[in-house]
Amino acid sequence: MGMFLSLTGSGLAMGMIYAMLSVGLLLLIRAVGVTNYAQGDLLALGAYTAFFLMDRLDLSGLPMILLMILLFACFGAIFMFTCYYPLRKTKWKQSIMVCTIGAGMVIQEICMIVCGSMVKPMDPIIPGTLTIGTFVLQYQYIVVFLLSILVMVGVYLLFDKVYAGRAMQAAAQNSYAANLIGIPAILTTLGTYIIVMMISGFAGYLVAPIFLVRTTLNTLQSKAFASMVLGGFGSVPGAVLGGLLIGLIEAYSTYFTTVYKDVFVFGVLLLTLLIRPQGIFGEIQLKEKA
Amino acid sequence: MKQKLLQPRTLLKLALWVVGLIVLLLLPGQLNNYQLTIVDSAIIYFIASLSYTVMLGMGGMMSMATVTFMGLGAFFTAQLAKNWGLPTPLAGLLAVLATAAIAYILSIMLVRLEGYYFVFGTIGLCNMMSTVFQNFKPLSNGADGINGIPKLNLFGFTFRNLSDWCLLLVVLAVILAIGVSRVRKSALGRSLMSIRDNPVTAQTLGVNVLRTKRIAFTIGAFLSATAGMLVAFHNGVVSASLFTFNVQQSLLMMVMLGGVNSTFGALGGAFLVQLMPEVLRPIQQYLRLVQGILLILLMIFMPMGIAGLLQSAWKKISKSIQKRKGGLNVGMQQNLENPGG
Repeated sequence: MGMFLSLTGSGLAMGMIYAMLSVGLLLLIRAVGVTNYAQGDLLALGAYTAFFLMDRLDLSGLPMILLMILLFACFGAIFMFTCYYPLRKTKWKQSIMVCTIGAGMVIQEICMIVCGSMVKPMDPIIPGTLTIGTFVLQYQYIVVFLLSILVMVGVYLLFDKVYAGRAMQAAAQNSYAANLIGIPAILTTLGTYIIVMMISGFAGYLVAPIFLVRTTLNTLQSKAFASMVLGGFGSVPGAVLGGLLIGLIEAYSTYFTTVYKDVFVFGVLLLTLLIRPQGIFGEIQLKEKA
Repeated sequence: MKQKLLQPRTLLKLALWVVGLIVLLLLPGQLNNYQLTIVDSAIIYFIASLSYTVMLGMGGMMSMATVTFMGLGAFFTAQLAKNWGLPTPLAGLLAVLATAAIAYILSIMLVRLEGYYFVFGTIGLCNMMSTVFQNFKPLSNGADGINGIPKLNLFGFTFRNLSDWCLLLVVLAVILAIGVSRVRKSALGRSLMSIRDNPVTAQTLGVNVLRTKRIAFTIGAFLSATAGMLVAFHNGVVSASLFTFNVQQSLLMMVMLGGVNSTFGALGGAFLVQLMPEVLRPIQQYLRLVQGILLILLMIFMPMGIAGLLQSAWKKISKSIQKRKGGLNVGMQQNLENPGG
């Protein structure tokens, strides 16, 4: 029983990470119509940024968080200006997608050049493990879960309550009409990219103590794709739910097998595509807008 | 007027092909072993990227599972040739056919998916099979891979050294490339391209969308499996690390670099990507960085790849030639020929 609970705990925590990644993915698809294959690399970038700030510059606590947020905003802007801005009027839809693949490679390499290519450990925010009987769970997992819920709630509030958020949604749904009303589509796209970068980067910062700081963090991205499909393509609560489900499935499958857990996860993805492609909360299909 | 334009173009293409063939046939004698390895790998990847030409360039289906079928072809070949002791040509043929059959079965499920979903489905397939390759001992011997694959023995001629391989690969590549271009010009190819451009209209015109897509997927898998089989025989060793998602991404890069809808482009792209580590050897640690930057720049400035660039350059040249010859009638003719501008 304790083991079940601890698997649940770690599954939920990882699920929130996948949820954050897939929400970021979803926001980009809704706003600009482009599948971002560099999502996992943005996560890695977040981890490396945090590592850089903590290790090389010896910051910690509030200044580090603030500087990290600032850096994420810059990275988001750079990412948009290289991968989206020159390509927004292209006729060839796949070019933006391939461009993000290239950007992912560039991000990986720059991280390795700046910080060295060895895998690095990072201290957890709250070290130690919570042990109640057979229930064993690292504190970091709990921190991950709680902080990501905060971030998700923040994103939800932003998009639903604050005017800027609703303006971004409007521009995402129909940029021509939004332009007519006076919402500058470029600024809202920029805002979306920055928010996505912050979510992914923060997720990277959270996950780094568990998975170590290394460039192969981008394998989490495929699971983010899977959670987006599972939860329903096009809805934010769906992406969150899908992420949690994938995290739980992955965690429970480690009870049976350690190496084939990817097979379980992607098997579920293929099953979903077979039985119900819209996913759980699926909405109407989105076409690429690029 | 139109025929006059086509004639020099086809003649030029033919001349290029002949020159290329002569070069490739004479090449094995001139190059040393190391260069031959690069040329051989480039040709094998070219065959795999032909599958992209069929699926993506003609069908508009971006599949991320090419390396999966390469891996299946390679591992089946290795198992059949080494552990089951079948004669090597038979092993290769059976492996490719078996992979194509598996691909057909998978395609029944996958081609129902549109756009994004298809891509995600193939990503899922790729990742899943990548894990299976890494761990499933009966198929791929786990992380160790399979070595000691017997050399290809075709009609009593054993392909031992690299220059023999180069000749065989060139011949195979030419045959397959001709096959692909035959498909492109056939009814199947045209139906496929109509599905790519506008599936609804295609359906109203009587094209069986699902069946055509399934056939295209299977042809693509057939080509990838052939490439995989060649990898098995050429290297003598196959391991799961050759067939991961990262390799898929670099294959995609090769295809995009050369141009998705052009056979020549795929060849150029494959060669370029294989040559890049050699040419950039002095800055080797920045290799992937340069590749990434190149990819980004490529997509911004040349989304149709090098072949696309050459094609649009050719169009501009031929237009300016026509202008000089035409005079007053040029404007109307240009409007007739390119209504879209």
